[in-house]
Amino acid sequence: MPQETLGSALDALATEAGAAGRIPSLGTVTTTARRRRWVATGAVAAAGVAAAGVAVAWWPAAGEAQGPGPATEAPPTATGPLSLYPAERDITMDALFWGTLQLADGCLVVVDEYGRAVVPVFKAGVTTWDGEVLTRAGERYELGDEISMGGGTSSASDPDLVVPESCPADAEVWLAAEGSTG
Amino acid sequence: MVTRSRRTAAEALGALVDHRGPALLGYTYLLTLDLPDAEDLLQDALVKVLPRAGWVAPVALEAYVRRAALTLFIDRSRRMRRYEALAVLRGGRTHHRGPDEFVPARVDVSVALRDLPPRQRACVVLRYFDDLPVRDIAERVGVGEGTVKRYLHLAARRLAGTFDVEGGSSSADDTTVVLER
Repeated sequence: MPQETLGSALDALATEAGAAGRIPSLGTVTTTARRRRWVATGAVAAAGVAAAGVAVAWWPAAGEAQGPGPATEAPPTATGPLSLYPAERDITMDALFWGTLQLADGCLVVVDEYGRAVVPVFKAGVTTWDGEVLTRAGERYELGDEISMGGGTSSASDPDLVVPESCPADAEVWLAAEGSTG
Repeated sequence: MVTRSRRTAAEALGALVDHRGPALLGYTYLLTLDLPDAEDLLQDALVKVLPRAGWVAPVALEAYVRRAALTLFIDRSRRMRRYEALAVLRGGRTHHRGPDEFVPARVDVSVALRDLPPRQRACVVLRYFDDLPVRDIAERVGVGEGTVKRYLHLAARRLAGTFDVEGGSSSADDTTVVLER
């Protein structure tokens, strides 16, 4: 009698386990995602407050001169309309895209002279959006400013990217290499 | 200007879980070989993809979740290896079988896979369950193609007594992977 192939054995095992286990509910998934996001942002705020506390304690005169700060600081909100990739990731692609910075339905996009729009994804840690101005490595860009970005397009399924839900699904994603914006 | 045609992330993920939940759980089980761990891994993968689920085409969303699960599994097994090394120093195992633990009817497959280290097991699942070529497996597991071939070769030697082996070949070449799909 011929032996069974591994592929069919794996299929059978997966089917059996899939039928026996509990599938996570969507409610559990969304609640967990919210809690983790809050904990992550809260941890960043707490680290900032702790660092400020250490600085003041180390230099008491400065603390007295400044007076007491707020007891607690609200955790930062999500990235707003800004899309980010992890700070430890290096983008080595060297294509170039330039256009004007625009805000489309709560999503930052760059639109070139021919109307091609991309969602720029910047490196976390060196890029911020304060509601009006994009700041990257010290350079400031307001809406309507021209911006050029080295880098290249990416797959929308890249799990490392943080892209606001307000960004459209059919938009092209552009990974902006660090130091390439001008 | 870009157009807005996005489903909400929750809608997209909800539809996927409704239709493909058991298949996804089966996939995470092949990686973990422990049902509660598989349930946790699936939940974590869904949590990870939630922010972008509305972006991904429905046909690609399942592959996206699987990929997230694989990444999480490999990261976890790396951390667990360090933790278990410490646990051994403290004089104990970290996992004990409970009375309600799932024991599959296909215990032969389960036992055979359990003998493989996590990365080897992941390579076997990607090759023989997902039908991926060596190049794609290498990219997903984060190792070189030569390493994947070696893993598949070692796995084939271990599993050869239990499952169909192609003509007794022991070559690790990509085109003549030793176990039939």
